[in-house]
Amino acid sequence: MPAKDVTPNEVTLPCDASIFEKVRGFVRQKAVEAGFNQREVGRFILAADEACSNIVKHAYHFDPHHKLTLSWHLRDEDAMLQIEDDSPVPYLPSRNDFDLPTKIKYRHTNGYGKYLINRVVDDVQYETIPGSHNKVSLIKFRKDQISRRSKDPQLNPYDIARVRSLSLQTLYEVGESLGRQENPEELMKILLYSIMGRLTTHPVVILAPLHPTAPFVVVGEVGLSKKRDIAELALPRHGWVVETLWAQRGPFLVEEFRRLKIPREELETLDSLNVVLLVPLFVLRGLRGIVALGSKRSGKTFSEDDVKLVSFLANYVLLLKEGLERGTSSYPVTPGGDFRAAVRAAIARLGQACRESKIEIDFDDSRGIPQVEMEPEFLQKVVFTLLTHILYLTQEGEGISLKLESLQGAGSLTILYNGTPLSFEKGKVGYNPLIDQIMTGTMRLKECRKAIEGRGGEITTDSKGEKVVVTFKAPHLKKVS
Amino acid sequence: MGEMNVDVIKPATRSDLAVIRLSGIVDALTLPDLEKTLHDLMGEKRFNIVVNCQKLKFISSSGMGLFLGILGEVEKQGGAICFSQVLQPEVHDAMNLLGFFDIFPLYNQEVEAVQQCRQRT
Repeated sequence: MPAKDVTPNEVTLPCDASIFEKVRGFVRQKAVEAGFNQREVGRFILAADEACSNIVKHAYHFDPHHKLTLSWHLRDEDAMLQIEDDSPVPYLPSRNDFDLPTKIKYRHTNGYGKYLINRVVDDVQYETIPGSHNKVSLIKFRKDQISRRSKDPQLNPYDIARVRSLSLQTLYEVGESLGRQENPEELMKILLYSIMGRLTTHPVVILAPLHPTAPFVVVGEVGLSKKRDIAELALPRHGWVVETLWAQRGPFLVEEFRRLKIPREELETLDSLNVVLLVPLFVLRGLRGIVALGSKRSGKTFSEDDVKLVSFLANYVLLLKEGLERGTSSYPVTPGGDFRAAVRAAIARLGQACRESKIEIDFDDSRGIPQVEMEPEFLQKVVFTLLTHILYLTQEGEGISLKLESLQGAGSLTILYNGTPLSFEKGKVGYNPLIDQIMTGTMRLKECRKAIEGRGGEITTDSKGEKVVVTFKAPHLKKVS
Repeated sequence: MGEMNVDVIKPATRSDLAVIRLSGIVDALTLPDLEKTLHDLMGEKRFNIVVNCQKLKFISSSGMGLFLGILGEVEKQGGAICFSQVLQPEVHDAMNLLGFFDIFPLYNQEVEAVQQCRQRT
């Protein structure tokens, strides 16, 4: 039980030399009273210090005539610290375009505060009234609610309000706890919640909000490794996000399903699935995964093509994973129903594509076990196929164009969205290193063309062959406001 | 106000190295003192720096950013920055969140850090 509040819940502090110590002291006191453990108290303090430092330094320039007001709100499921200032300078701690690896690589000195804030609290909200005041809210879920949640039999992944109340951190810890208790059903449920929760609550995971009828969306790698890490690779101006969640090298969700002995039928019959996972492995180095989700609840039924794609990708995942681990890959494919046919079709298509690309592949259908020798170009094609399909799925009407300045050594990627170019240039904020890696690696036009055309896209080049425009049409998708 | 103390030790046996023992709070207010200390050391061509955090109670992102910036400078001069005794859990957690220990070698003992602190080729 948290201790009873014994200190005021609001303080107004002048921005003098003592302010940071007072901020930390206030937050420490309140967070301890709320029952947070030592680490979470420390993280709350860190977030508060970072937020206040930003305001005092950049908005007030250490002018002691200004003041900050901190208020503490202890609610059933979370604790919220609000920091109000009257600066005309907006402060945007929820920006999520921070590229930590690049910052570190180039030894940048600034900008880590916002990143830390977003790492250490569960939610950051920001309000501003121009010319009046700004309010930053730092929210952390309470530990004493976690255990109660985990035992809640009514927890439903489609209960959006409920899902919104859960954070990744919370879910992770609940999942860990449940894992120790050997409660696989609940663990799986929690994992699914975490995905759905991320989709519905995280401001930058926008594929679902942008297009809720999309048959599947990309979320990220889901694992159970203790070495969790959230590394977000974003094209923030447009909102595209491919992110890895929790695990740098954690096991994939599909493995968890297998380990937990969840019947394969449940996984492989799309009609019964709430969530279709799975996971083309990402770029060679780091092996990021992608989870593709589909939701019956979204109102979208899966077309045959969708089924094919999912099965196609699912097979890729399994093949790639083992291939990358062992050098070669094999995975038994024993699906049922329509899914089986889709998988077979996908495998046939894969085989054709590989033969055309002179990639050695040996499917042994008699055993249902395809054998694949992995090659880098092959993987890149997979990645590119996936990316283009993501774009394809989540746009409507005119579709979206990928304009590659050149395919080898490309320094920029331009996406035309409703005719408006959105450029992502190397070295600038928001540039996606993943795209860079794909586009500037050994990706070749030939592979690209096959991948694009294989997905029903069109590819055109200019007379010099230096510029390539790739277009996908998605006329069947409806516009979502 | 939160205080920070920086004790600088300059071993007679190594003119290229200095040890700074940080204690207290490194935040936006105390940062300039730390920054000056580090730049002074570079002015003395002590490009290998051991940071003893045994008594460090808090470090903000600006403090960690300072070390990253200084690292960039000392690396150009063939130097390195090593940390020792990051004992305070909150400090360790904050540094870990930024991937600090993937960049800066961390040692359990100051003497070990002094022995090892040089740029690796």
